[in-house]
Amino acid sequence: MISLSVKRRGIKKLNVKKVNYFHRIGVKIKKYASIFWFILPAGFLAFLFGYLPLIFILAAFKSDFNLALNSPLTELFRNNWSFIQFSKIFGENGGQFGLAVVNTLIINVIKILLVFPFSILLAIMLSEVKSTFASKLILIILCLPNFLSWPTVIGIWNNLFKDQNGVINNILMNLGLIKTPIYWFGDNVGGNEGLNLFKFFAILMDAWKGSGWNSIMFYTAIMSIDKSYYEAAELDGASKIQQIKSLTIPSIFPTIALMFIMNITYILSSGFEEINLLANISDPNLKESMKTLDVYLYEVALGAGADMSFATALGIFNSTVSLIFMLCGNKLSKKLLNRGLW
Amino acid sequence: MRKKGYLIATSLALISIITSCGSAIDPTADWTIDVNKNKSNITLNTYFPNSTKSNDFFQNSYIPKQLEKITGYKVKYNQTSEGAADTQVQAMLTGKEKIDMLKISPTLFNNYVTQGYFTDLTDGIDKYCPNLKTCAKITQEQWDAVTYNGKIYALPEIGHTSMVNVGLIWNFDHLKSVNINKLPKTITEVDEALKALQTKYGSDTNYHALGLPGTMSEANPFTAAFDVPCNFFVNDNNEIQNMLFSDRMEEYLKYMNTLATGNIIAQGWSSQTESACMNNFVSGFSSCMVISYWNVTNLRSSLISSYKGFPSDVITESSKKEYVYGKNDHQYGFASDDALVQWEVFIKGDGKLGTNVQTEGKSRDSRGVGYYITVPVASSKNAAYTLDWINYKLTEEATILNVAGTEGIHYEKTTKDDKDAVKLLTGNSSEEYVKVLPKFYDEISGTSQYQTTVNGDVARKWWPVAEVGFDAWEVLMTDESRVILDSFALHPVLTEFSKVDLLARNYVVTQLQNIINKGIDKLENARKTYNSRYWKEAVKNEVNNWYKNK
Repeated sequence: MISLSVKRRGIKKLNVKKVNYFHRIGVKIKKYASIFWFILPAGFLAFLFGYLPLIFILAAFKSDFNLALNSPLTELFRNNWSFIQFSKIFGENGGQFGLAVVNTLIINVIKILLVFPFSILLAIMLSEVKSTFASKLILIILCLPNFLSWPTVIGIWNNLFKDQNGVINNILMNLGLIKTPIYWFGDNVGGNEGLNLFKFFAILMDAWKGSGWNSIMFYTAIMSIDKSYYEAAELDGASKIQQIKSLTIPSIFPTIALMFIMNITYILSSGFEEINLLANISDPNLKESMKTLDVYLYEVALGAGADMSFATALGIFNSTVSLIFMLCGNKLSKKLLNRGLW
Repeated sequence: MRKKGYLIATSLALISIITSCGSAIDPTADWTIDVNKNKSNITLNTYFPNSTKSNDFFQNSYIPKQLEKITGYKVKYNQTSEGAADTQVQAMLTGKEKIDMLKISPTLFNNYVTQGYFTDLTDGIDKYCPNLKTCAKITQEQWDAVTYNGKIYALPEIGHTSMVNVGLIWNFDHLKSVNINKLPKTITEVDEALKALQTKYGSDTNYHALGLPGTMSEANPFTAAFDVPCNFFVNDNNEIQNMLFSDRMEEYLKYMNTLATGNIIAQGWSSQTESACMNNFVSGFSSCMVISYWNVTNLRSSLISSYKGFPSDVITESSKKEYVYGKNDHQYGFASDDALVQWEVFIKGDGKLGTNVQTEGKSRDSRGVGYYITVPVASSKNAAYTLDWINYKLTEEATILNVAGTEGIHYEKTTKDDKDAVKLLTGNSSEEYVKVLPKFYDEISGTSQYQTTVNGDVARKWWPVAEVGFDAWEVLMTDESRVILDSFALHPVLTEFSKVDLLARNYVVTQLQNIINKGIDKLENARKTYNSRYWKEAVKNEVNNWYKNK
């Protein structure tokens, strides 16, 4: 904004104020006031439950954090600052922490490499279904498992694969393929010492539950591709595979990039409920050896011998690594797919 | 000016939000309250470990309504979660939930008392709960176990002495089919029976002779036969050591491994619940199972409705019931000898398998006290009312109500000649008999969860009435037959030990299951890990210093 001021010789001199960033924001808010009112409740809740509690990150820098008597804030600013919680991550608890990280990474990397492309493949296959009714019906069926809670999903799979009277074992025995039931959730499956299918089941159940739902994003993107491109490609003699390779997939690159970055951001999170419940129906040995970071964090924070300070330190570590992965994922996506979040 | 206004308003809003995060708690109880004046305005919020009944049943059944009429206290009864009690208790305590009475295990108590989560009850007991010292027989050791830094932070739960909660139940038809016509009583007989049954029925790959719930790996009739310690024992160096290091535990684990490798227990037994085992028993996929006394009636009911092994002439409901319960009158505590379902509570070791310590049929008692009653600091100002309520529950009137109901409605006095007479355990030469009335089964049977903090002597005397509802074995142990198995059962709060106790316990249970499945060669690794993680020098020294100086 420019204002005029009278100077000594009667010449009005220009007094240019710098265009203020916050002023610009204020102008926009005023212009789109109704939209901001609309998002204000959600924004307030996000601030209240998402940002305000961030102050408790400071708990990770305390030697202990006891909520028996003091209020959380009083306890937070008590003078017992220390970095001991971070040293515990790699020190006395290093073994368990390392194992949890390795388990989590293995499960999530395989999910990104296999389950993620599978959702894309599902969406492509669905888009090729000619009948609208059929495609909608298939989509509904594929999405249904997503609405089941994890205890229900684990219960279903347990009934399928359990050793005593399980459906799969009964089928295999009736077909004569096996003589004795296989303890699928054990750690010596089929009599092979050390062979366990824990991670396999974790990935498979996640794929069964979530692939249909995740494919909706890609399916929507595919549906928004102009049909004339396909007609032109057909006229040029492109086969179905060529159309998918050269037309469909490149057209949905922005969506793939977005979903890829979101998946890679959560690479250190493998779903607490799924892993914890799966461990409950598995061989007891696997409870210890297949622990993921979410389960470890839960046990540290809320389980026996709960230590809030240490759990917060673990959470900070987790979030920092996720942030790094998100940045790297964005860069990778830009390089390979020419698309990124920013 | 407007901007300043917005800034001030935002700051005020932020400050109010932040300060509403909670304020400090005054942990001191108020022992000057006249409880009779204000008790009608108080609703006590109580938490108990999970029972098989729903919260609604717990809240609305006959006993709590009667207790409210008599005591004048309104009480809200809640149950902690079955599988996640540790987490729930942690959340309730750190969230400063207003709980007036919280019943928890000694392990959880030790975990939290050092952090100051419980109210000091020392000065209130004599004033508000005098019955605790006159009616309840709490030993000095038990008081020491709930004392920390010279102050009492919990009440040991007073019960009717120890109970034999689990027994071995058999399908007698299956036993007869392998030419065994009497219940196996020794571990060798049990072993032979299980192997014979597995041979006969094992061609069905879903069949496993023994149903063992995963939660019972360390305390069941088999552990008794091997004289296995519970939790901790005293080793040859006169030091406290975890049961994982006991030779007898090793023998027990070796034996259980033979059952696992022989397919006598299912591969996935460690994740099996008791109800899953009951289903297998009813379906004929097992012939024997470890079962809790309160589930015996449920099992029989399920057999009557769903068992497929009834002879062709047993068709009607009443004939099926007769088949399951037996045609002959059965002696109290024992199944009829012609019943389909029969049980044996104590399996005796005979030296060949197990030890012969059990030859006299001694009971096994794992610990001195099962639970502690605490008042979290968030409800410290109501502690006087909680103690007053418990004080009334210790009376004879309240205890009989909790165990047997009301005379004339749920039971009536009778004589010895009455065929339905139940003999009370008077503990002396006098004989008293009562019989239950039909309403007992609807309103009182199976409600033993209300028996927290009742008069132990009175509860013991009237317990045979409660047992009528279960119609299982004699659950109460006599004092003579109790053998304390846990040398560390009644220890005071030990700071270093309390930090690792809960984690260590969970670890040991998991390892026992693992060793039973995989073999005894896993035991060494389990021991090493236990020592390195949970039995470090500081913990070991603290525990053994206490033990040697006690």
